[in-house]
Amino acid sequence: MRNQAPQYVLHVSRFRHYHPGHGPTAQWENIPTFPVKCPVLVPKAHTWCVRGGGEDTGVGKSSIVCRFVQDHFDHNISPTIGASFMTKTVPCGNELHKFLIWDTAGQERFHSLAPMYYRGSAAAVIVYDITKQDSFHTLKKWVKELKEHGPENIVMAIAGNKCDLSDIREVPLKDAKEYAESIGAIVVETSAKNAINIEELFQGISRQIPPLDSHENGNNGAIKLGKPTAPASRRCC
Amino acid sequence: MCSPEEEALLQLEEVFLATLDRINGQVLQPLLEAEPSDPQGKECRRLLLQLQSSCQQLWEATEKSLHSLRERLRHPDAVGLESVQLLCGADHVLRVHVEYIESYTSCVVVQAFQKAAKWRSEYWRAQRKALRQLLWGMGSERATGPALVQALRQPLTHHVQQYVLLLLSLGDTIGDRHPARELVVRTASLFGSLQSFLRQALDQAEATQALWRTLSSRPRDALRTPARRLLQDSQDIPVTVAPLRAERVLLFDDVLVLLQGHSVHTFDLKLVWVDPEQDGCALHLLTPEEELFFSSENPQDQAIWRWKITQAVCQALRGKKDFPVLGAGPEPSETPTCRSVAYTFLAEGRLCQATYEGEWCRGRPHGKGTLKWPDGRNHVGSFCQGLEHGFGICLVPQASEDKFDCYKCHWREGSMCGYGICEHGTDQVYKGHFRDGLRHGFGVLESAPQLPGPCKYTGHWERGQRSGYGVQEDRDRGERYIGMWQANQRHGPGVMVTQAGVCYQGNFQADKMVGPGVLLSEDDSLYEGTFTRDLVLLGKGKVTFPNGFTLEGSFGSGAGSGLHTQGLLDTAAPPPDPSSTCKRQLGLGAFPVESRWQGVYGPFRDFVRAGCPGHLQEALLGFHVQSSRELRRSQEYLCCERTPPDDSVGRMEDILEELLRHREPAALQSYLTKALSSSLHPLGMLLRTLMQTFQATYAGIGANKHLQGLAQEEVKQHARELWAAYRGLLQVALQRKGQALEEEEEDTETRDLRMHGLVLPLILPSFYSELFTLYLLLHEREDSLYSQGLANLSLFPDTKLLEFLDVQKHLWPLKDLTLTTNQRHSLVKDKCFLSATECLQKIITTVDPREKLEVLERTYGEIEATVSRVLGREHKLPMDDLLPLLIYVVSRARIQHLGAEIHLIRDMMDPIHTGGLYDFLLTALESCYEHLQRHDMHRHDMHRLPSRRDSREPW
Repeated sequence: MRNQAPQYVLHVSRFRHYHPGHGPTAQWENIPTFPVKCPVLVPKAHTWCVRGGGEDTGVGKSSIVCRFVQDHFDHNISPTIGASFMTKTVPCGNELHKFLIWDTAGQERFHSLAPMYYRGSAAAVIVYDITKQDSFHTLKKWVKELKEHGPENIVMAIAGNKCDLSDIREVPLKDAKEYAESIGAIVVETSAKNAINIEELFQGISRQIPPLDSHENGNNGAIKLGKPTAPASRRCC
Repeated sequence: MCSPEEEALLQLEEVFLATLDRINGQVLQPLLEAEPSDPQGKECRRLLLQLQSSCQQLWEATEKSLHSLRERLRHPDAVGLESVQLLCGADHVLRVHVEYIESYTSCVVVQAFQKAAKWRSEYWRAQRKALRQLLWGMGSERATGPALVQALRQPLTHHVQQYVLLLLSLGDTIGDRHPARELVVRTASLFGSLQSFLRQALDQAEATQALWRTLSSRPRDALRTPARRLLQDSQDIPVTVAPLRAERVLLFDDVLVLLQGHSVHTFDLKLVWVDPEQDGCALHLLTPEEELFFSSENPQDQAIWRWKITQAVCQALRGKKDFPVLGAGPEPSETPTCRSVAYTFLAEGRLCQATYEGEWCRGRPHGKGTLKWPDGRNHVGSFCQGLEHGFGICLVPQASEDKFDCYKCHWREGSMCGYGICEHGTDQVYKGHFRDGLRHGFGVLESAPQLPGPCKYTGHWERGQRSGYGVQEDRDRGERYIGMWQANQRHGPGVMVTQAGVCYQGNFQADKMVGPGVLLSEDDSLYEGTFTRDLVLLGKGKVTFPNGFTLEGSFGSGAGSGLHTQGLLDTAAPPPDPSSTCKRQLGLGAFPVESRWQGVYGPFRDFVRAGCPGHLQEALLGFHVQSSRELRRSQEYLCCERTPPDDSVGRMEDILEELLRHREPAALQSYLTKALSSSLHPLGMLLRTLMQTFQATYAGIGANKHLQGLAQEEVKQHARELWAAYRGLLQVALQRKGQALEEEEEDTETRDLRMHGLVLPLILPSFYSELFTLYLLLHEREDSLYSQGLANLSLFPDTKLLEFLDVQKHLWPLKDLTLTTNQRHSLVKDKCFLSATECLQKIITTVDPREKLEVLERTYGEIEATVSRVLGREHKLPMDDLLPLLIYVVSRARIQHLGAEIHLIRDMMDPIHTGGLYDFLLTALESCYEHLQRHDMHRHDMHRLPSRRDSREPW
């Protein structure tokens, strides 16, 4: 029995100069591989996915991310660490967002290590299982922690997974929506199995990430999100 | 078959030999019998002796010639004409004649014969008849003196004349075909020249003698020497001189003399330059201390003077008389510009009484030379336009004792400028930059360790005083000050680190701390407020204890000993996070890293801006002298064995050439590696100096955890500056090829990429030991908790540990456990995930953060490979499974000081990796490290430890 809340951490980098008119495929094939100079941006923002859940089989967070990453054509340029670290590029307006997806161990005993993973991230995806009320409770705990200890302005998205099993649903969509609204988060019901709403979930996050501030990042376009302090200054008095 | 001329020659020689015998017996011997006692007389006697020996040589040569002629006449067939001494040894015969002429004219100039005759006038009166015999043909002379003069000259003149006649006649007689004809003709012309020489020598001698007779006594005594000959007199060809005034100008064969009243100005011809420019009408002469303009009304007169002076200078420099006449030397038109002569300066000023020996150019010391002052000051080195310029060694004696200040330094226009090493008589050594003769720029001053008050300053100077950023270590007090200076005093923000581990930061003014500061003690308590240099808390302040208690109030030293305070103790605050209190950093923000070591980067930038001139490399980038102390002890302190001597100009070209050939990434890396490790490459020199500053700041007393922040930003800045330095060199190299740097301005992003990706890994080894020590100290507490955790977990056998870490059973690599007969799975240790463990251990074998991260990535790969092998299929590990396995591997790898490693990697990691794969891996490792420090690893979970059960189980 593993009572756990597995976590993913996603990092986002973004590309400027994306022209939708040329078609995404053509554009994306031209994206240089990490870590090449412009237009790849230094990833300074993270997206952190948390999912709630109270059972050993999991609520499908791996499936969500794997589906998201693998359904598309850029997995060949993505360095991965098994199912723990993945990257994925999503177009958003005239930018490209490169998600750097960090998984984190969800076991309760590793809970205290979580801040190391979510520090400096731009967004978090918190996943629960619509067929498990428990997982929704766990989710709320994570939201609370993120609000208190997470980076400022973190974009939160709530994903109710397994919407293909809505007949054994325990968490009503209305509850989730109300809750999400109360905390200002994106909410989507997904099905990793049937690839429902997965793309939409990440596009929703992309839209919420503040656009590039051209005067601040004028020449290199690096985004500086949710990271008020540089890593080096962390250890300073 | 001998020609009549040969017989005539034989007769001539016989007569001459007899004449010489007579001259010696009847004239020279009696002349020498007098023994005068006055100095003039002694001088005369010396000259007469010389004349006698010349005469003797002449006799010998003639005797030899006579002998060979006799041989020839006796056996005309056996002995060829070529073997006649007069022909085959003509040069020797000639030389003997010239010597005789010179000895003779010297005697004439000082009127030696007349004087000697006076000493024994009685005798000579008696000998008049014999003398007259010698002077056949012109017996009109009455006085003894002139008669003697004639007697010693006439036979020689006659003899040479006969030689020429007979030889010419011989040449005609033997005909064109004769093998010896050429020799005969040559000899004839040689003696013809001798005739001219003789005539000129006699003329000069007579003119000189006449001059001495007419000159007033004072200048005569000053000028008269036997060997000196008058070449030109302004009474014959008038000339006026400016700016020095002169009534009379006398050109001798060794000096130029200006007479004005009683004053005599003498200029050594070796140090007279005739300006070849013939602008204006005046003749321009350069001498070490004067410039002279000669002018005449008549341009022809001036031309004569110009020609005479030029020839006289050339002759003086050649060191011997022009043969046959003045100006017959090889290069008649100009005086040579560069010479090598010694001269003592007379005019008041810097060089008064100093003697310069070495190369000159147009009246000024120029080139290599030695300058010696009468007080013992001594400069050996290069000169330019009369001033020290280029590398030179200067010794300055100390007032007392036998001690010297020794400057091995680069000079510019007479003062020290650029890099130099100065060893003071007080055993202090300064190595650094100078300007206008004073310490200026970056430099290190170190006093001898055995003397009282040993002290070392590494930092910036201005006009001879400590000024700007600098580090001073006072070994007696056990203190190191890192901070700003002004006029040799601590002034501005500064950090003081002490041997005892206490350190503080504050503002200094005139060597004293003013206003509040921050004081950190060894036990991590913090005092913010005012205190004295002896660490006595005085005035308002606040103490924060490590347990979170604060004491705020005013402090004083009270009546007795100990601390006296009135204040408020607050015990309500929650205990702070120990990891934040013990990691307080000093100096951050007080000394912006960009401006900290400008004095080191500055000269390099100047070097690049000047286009990398090879001859300035040393002056700007410094040089290394081997064991300077030992050299000083020995007498060879004037030889300075620097690493790059004179070929540095060519070498710089090679360096730039090579730089251009290695611009592709792979080649660039290996090139930079080589360049940075070479002590002759400009980049290597720069790195060496930076290492020196780093050690001066952070080694020894400076190994204090509160300085880690300063140190790490400094290393990064060095990488940035070294990259900029490389770019600067590249630009110069391209400019020399006439190309421009294609990317005109490198953007910050590329620069950062290069700095972190390329340069930082290359220079990190140079700073690693000091830097890692700081990290080690900073993370000491966590590292000890971690080691404790490691020690506890090391007691677990593999399967127990996997179970303890909640690794799912299906991932256990039980197949890897090979058992002996009575062993059980539960007892085997250090077998599972061995490949990953061994891989992770390699993290300490490199200092390059990127390589360390690659090790980490490979470790992950090994874990996944092992898991895939266990499951029999490819398996992608989610973090839920990966983290426990990683903790297992980390606990088995038993890497010491992992905390220091992790934080060093993170600080030195390329920021482009932030959020990326490497950041993730490093965060995962860090979370393992944190986990291993935790309490439940130490106490709570110990109940589940199998160690107690182990004891019960049979082994």
